[in-house]
Amino acid sequence: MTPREAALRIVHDVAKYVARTARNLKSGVALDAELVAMLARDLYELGAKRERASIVLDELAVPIADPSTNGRADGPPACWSMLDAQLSNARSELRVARALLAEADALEAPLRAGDARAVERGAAIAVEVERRLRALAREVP
Amino acid sequence: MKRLLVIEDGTEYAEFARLFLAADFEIEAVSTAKDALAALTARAADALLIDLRFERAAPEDLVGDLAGTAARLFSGDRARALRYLKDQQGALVLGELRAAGFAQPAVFIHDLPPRRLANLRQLYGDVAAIPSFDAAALRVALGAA
Repeated sequence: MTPREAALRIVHDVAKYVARTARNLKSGVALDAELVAMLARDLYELGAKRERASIVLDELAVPIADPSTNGRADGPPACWSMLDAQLSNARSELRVARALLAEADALEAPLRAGDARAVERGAAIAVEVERRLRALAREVP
Repeated sequence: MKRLLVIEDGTEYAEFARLFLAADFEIEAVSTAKDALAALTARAADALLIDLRFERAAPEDLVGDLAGTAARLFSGDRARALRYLKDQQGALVLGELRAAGFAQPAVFIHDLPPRRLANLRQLYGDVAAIPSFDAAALRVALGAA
């Protein structure tokens, strides 16, 4: 997978789904159990394999985090350097998104239990992760 | 109340629709083109919400000729052809529905490039694409307002 293909997959498979619930919540309104469960599925049971969003992102981001795995093998070293430079902004967004999802992972137990602060923070993280990953995709040539 | 048919290989779209669109639509969900045709034949729907990628669908449930697609587009590579059919399945399902005479507005939740969306509109008429699970935008696109 090339970095561009990976970026498009990240937008579809992670960015879109991670904020499925969070981006539609009304601020200041407590969530009922059904919405909390759906928010938890967005963060911790994403996609066909029901994996954490953090794990899905890590798997899909390999060609961006390390283009030597694919996508640059066909070009001369000068092309690799250029691609590496072009990906530096995308990698910054990726680092932020990963840190946010790590924070979300640490919130899993209280969020699933419906703790109001954990739910609020989890929802805010989900919205910010979507924003960051869409920004990442814009940076990948 | 208007009726929305959700077509997807998983449960994410229907789950979302039942929580965020239920005030505007009665919702039915199916997972194959065959079931969508049966549902629309049994009872009309006002709009279609369709997943584009059918990652989890069994090959036998997909619209599209695997061997023919492999021969025509991928030098006989069936694995790449299957990938293609899964990636484009929502559009292929919509094609089946249009061919059967169902012309309801269809919405994809996907970042479709403008040229791709224009192409889908040329082929299939009333088609919209919303990049996120944005309930307000979807209500408008699906004709709830």
